[in-house]
Amino acid sequence: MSSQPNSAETARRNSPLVQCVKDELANDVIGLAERPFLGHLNLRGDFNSLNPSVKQVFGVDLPEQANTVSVEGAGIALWTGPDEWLLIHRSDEDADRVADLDRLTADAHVSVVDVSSAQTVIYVSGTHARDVLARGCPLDLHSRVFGTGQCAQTHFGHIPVTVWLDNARPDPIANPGFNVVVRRSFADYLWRLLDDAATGVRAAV
Amino acid sequence: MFIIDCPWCGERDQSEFSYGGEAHIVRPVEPEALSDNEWADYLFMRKNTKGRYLEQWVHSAGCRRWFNAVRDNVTYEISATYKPGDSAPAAEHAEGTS
Repeated sequence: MSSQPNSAETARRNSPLVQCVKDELANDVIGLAERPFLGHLNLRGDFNSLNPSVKQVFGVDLPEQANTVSVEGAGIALWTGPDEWLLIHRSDEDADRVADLDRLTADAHVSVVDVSSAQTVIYVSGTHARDVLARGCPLDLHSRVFGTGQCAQTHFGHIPVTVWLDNARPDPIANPGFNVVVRRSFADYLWRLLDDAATGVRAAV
Repeated sequence: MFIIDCPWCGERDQSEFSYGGEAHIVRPVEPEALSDNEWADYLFMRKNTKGRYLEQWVHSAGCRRWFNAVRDNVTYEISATYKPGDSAPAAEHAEGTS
């Protein structure tokens, strides 16, 4: 747990994984890291009602094709259903953008819900990231099937997760980085499962 | 374990899905006009036939959408999946199960 006192005067945000040892053993083979305090917006509604406002505010087009992700402008937009998207952004810099999007969509038949406090992202990277994820996830993670620009909602063990492959890295095929979105109440459990799954890979190196 | 073809997400592992019973059961337009027997029939009575069966599934760990599947409940083979509102594909007679 946090070593900081947590009185009203020193109140500060703790990430869901504040207690976990992060990236102590990170290397090219396997790395686990939290990406805390990102903004998560759940968007529901018709594509045509949502997309112009999202594009105007965050500069990203919502993906229309199932299980794909758009990384553009100030946002990462994940397809999570035929009328549903998850928009990830930098919450600290984008408070005004969320308010703007709220205002722009106020009269439309859509919902924009800030779920940032409910979720966090674990970043699984390295040459064996696929092997570690495959220990608990039923997806076909082979690069021919699950490549850059793909996202999927699935489960790791019993934990519901949303996964997308980072396309910002220079070589996502050889050295993939999987972003795993998880509810904060499951985050500690998922972290321990991933850490356990990584043990074999670390031992083999 | 088998693979189910979600109409939106494509082929995924069965562990991502939940079962929803027989498909194409239409809710009566005026439930208050029904007798208790008719209402019970709508609520509880299912065909439970052997062979080709039209049933509902939900992609609960994925896109969380309901859809229908044509499954043979003897061989477990899922021959088709389709979106709610679409009609079921025609049966093939070669199987001789219906």
